[in-house]
Amino acid sequence: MGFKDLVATLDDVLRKRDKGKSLKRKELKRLEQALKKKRAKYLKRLYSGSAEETPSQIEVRLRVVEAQLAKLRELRAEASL
Amino acid sequence: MNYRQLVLAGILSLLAFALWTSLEFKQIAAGVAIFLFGMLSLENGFRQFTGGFLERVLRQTTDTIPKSLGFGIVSTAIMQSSSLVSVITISFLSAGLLPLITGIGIIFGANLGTTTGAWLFATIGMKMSLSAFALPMLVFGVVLNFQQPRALKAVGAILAGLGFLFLGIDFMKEGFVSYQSAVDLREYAMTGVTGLLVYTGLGILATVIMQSSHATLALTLAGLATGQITYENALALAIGANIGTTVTALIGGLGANIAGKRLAGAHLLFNTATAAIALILIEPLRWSVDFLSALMSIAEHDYTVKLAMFHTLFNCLGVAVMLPLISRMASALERWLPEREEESAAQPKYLNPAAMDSPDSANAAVRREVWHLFDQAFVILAHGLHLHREQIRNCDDLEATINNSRERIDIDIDLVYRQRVKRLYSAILDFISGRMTRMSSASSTESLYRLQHAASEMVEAIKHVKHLRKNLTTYMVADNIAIRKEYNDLRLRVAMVLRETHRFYEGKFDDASTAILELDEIAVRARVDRESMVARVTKLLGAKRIDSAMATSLLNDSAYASETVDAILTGTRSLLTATDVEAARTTEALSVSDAGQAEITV
Repeated sequence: MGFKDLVATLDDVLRKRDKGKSLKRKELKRLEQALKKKRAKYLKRLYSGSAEETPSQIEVRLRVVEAQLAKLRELRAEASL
Repeated sequence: MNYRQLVLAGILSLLAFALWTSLEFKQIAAGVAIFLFGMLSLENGFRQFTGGFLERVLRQTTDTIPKSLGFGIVSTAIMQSSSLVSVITISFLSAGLLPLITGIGIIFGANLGTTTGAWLFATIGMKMSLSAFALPMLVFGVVLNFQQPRALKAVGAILAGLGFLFLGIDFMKEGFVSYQSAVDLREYAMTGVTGLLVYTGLGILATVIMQSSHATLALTLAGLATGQITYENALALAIGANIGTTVTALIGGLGANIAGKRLAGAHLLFNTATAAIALILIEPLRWSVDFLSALMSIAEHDYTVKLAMFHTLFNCLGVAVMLPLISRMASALERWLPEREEESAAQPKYLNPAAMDSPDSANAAVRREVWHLFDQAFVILAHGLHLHREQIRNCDDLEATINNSRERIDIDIDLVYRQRVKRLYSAILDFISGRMTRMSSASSTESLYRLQHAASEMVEAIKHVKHLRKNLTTYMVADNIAIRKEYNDLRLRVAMVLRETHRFYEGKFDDASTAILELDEIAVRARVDRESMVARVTKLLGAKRIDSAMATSLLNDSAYASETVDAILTGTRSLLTATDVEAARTTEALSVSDAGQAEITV
């Protein structure tokens, strides 16, 4: 393998890595949107009341979504480094 | 009081009257009761003793019809219980581990094996006074039965069973001897075709009532030995016993799946055909018995041994006639008793050799099959909680439904697992291992591993519900309101998880990633429910609303419920992540870990 081939291979590997990162970023952004939407839904349900679940049950859901959002922010920060 | 209870009350009153008025009848009836108890104990002993051994032998030695016939003869001759052999055969047939034709071979063999019983009673039972060693047998049997090791316990049950069996025969003999002085039953003897048909009918009736052809034969032999029943009528009674025993098998088959029904059908066909042959060829058979008896130096008037020989001979004749027709019989039974829709649903739907050719089609087929397995497992889990599938899926207020429902759903979880899930699970494992031998990308292989894991978790969930069900069945209808409410809460905890995850099985989610994240919400909610239950149990115990035994059961069962919930959620997560392994890694990183969950309390 010559020097040129080595550079081309390295270039390929880096491009794939970048592509992976951007895909991950895209996926994280989409998930963040979905989680924020869900949080808004649960908040609304918590204040207006729900026939299906008690307020404490809705609160559990809300806390889980918030914990997931916090983790997501950490991951996004790592991905942008 | 319904009509069944009325009939039972009537029969019991009649029996009490007969026992009160006739000492001889009391003696014979007690003999039959002791004999039947001995049969139960013997069967119970062998059941403990075999402990999987019989199943292993069955799996290894029944690949051909002659081998299955041999297995039926030997196992029934040793255990003296054709019903135990039939039950094991039915369970193997239901699980798809045996083809119907081999199952029929075993039943033919069991019919031959059961004829050794008549020899045992006719030789040892009638010729010797058995109480001399029946009583020591009982003593040793009971002592051994109290021992801890399973093998000793089993030997004890077998010894006690044999002791009771022989004691029962002794009682019957003595009863008939006493009858001789009071009434001569031979006055009721009938000859010719009428006698043959009437006594065959009596043999059927006696076997149906006592649910044991062995008991009818022992009774007949006792009557024959004391001269109260004529030899001619005894032959007809033995033929009747052969037909009567199929009624027991038919009753057992009614509750079984289609495999059990077909086997019961085969049993009925074989025994009825054999009895018909014996009735038609009664005279040639009698000559053959006389000829063989002379050849074997059996005394001309030794009618008990001759009856045993007749019993063996006509069953051998039945096997000789029916064996060449065995494959036709199997296909006819499959045609007459077709598989019901729900049973065909337990067959793999999507796995076929063609799907194995490409990684994508293989993954899709396995994924669909695992969905299918989840669907089947859902029914078992629901019934395990004494709930109906529709109640969990569609009921508006599940909590109220559970609190108001005291309906018991009687299922044998092991049996329905074998019928509905095990076959699918085995097919999935076989398919995946077959696919693994071919070239695939790393993500495709990982996807298959995740699917395999999903299926195994659902099987685990069924096992946990089986444990949970033991106390649940008692406490969900208990008079103690507090314990009943707590057990209903356990049912609700698992049922809610089933309801929420079922949406995913039906494909009711936007995308796999958000569905996976939603599983965290379900998991945390179940954990919070469990923790609040633990706190409540302490309070209830302090207030003496439940006792410590109830509290222990509740805490143990709460752990089983949590394990069930965990298994369902882990299985569903594996199934969802298998769709897109790369995207799943990102989602898994977001999933709230155990440590994260621990922080969430309400």
